[in-house]
Amino acid sequence: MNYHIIFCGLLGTTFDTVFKLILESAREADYLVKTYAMPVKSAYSSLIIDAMFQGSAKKEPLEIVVDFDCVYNGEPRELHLHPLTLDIPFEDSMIHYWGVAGSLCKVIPDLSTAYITSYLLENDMSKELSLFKKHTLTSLPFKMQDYLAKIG
Amino acid sequence: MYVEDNFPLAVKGNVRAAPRAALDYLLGNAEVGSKVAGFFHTVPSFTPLKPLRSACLLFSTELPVEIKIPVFFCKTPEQLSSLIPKALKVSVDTQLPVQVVLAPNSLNNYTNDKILEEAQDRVQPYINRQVVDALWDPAQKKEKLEVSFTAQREQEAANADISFFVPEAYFPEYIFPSALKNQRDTFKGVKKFHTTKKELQFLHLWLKEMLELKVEIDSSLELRENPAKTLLCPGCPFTAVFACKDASSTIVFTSIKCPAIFEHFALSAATVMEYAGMVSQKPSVATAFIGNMSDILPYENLLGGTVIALQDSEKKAVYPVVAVNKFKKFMNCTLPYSCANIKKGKKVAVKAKKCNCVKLGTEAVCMQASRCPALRLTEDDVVSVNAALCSGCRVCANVCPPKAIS
Repeated sequence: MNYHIIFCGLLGTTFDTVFKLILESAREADYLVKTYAMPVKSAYSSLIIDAMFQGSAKKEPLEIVVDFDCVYNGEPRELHLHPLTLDIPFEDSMIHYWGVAGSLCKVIPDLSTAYITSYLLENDMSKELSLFKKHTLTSLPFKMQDYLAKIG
Repeated sequence: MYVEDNFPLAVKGNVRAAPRAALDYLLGNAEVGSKVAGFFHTVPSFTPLKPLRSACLLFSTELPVEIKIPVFFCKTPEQLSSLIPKALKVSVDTQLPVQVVLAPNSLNNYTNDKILEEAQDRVQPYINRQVVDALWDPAQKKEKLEVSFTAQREQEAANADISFFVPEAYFPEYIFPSALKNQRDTFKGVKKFHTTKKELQFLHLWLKEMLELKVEIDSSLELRENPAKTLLCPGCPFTAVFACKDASSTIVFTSIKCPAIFEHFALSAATVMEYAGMVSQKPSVATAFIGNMSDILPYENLLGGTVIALQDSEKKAVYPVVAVNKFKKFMNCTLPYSCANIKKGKKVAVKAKKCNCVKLGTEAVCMQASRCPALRLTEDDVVSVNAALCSGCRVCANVCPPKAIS
């Protein structure tokens, strides 16, 4: 399967860490990973990165929006992962990003949760780890489940 | 090192001046043998007169409008680590300043490049002083630099899509005004180029005027639109200015280069000198100018209309200082900070029971007016404040209709 993922979030170390771990997980899972960044409009503006995870010769990729902080304003997608739809409370410390990352691992089963879990364990990030694990184990919203079942 | 205000990289400079003056200062230093670098949105027009004794790199985010010096183009972050040593070498060899144009993709994208990774604590996309220092000395590169400018092969040019801003399209790595023959030969067979509207002027200059190619250039390539909400910095002084009633009847000019404010507010771009020229003609409409205090100071006596200075240095304020949340009407004043030194005050909090804009079916006025990244809408249709981001400017509190923010 190929994935075209639009990552949106506020510039900061949490975004950096989560995004890099997801990219590394995809690389470890033998996806060909390409990323493309959009211009940032202000120092606190949201960062938008298009990522292409290529795993097969199939032409049409599965479109996913990973909106860590509800900043996406573009055309709606069936798979729009953001804290409000995934029932993740916003946290000032940005740990809700880890919950969204957990849900992404649910959508892309090839992404190794072990890779991210070991990073969180190594760095003693217990709160982040529990939120991440919770969302890798929780089912996705019904609408998304139906869509994923439909496209196979 | 000079960094223009609002340059989209976390690099701190040690020269404070208007871009034109800063460029002269950098060139002067390079002429006497100091290594210099400048980060500009657009490099001011200049003609190199004296040979430089040391390297001079001029980084910019916009394509040049004239090509008098060697120009390197960086489209991806991976290119950066090889391109800067090359640019330095060219600057030393030619005794000319060298321009390096950075694409948005090279500024904000992620990379596995080891040099960039080791040189900074903060992971990509930010590039800081250490990165620039690490890349500064070409000797730090382990492999031998093979800058073979005559052997450049531009096979990709055959597809005739040529764009700096579209990642899939071809764009040359460099243009040297003194060595154009190879590039002319490369594009010999191409009759039509496709590019984006943004680059049309540059390609016309390069392909038609410099390379003298008889080619057709169309602007059919499309730039990808950024699908994110435009957010301003917490405490952005422009939110307070545009929350005033006077703003609707005044033409507001600014020299601050921030794409977000131009997208969100009805602003016109002008330098202090351009504004001084305009108001000398005594326009019939009310005008206002917002700019950094250091830019305004030399022209203070020439400016008419309303002048709002942003205090960007410790120097004595030109006009009376007014707190951002006390700015109620247009008058000559100094706001206590600029984009580069936004001050933090007491953080605000939202009384959830009073917050009712969204519950009544309208947009959250505070979010709409301030575009502050610290404000978010929760699942209960109530605005919440991210205390980590809040600067305490209180612009949201001033515009909140039910006074739920305090």
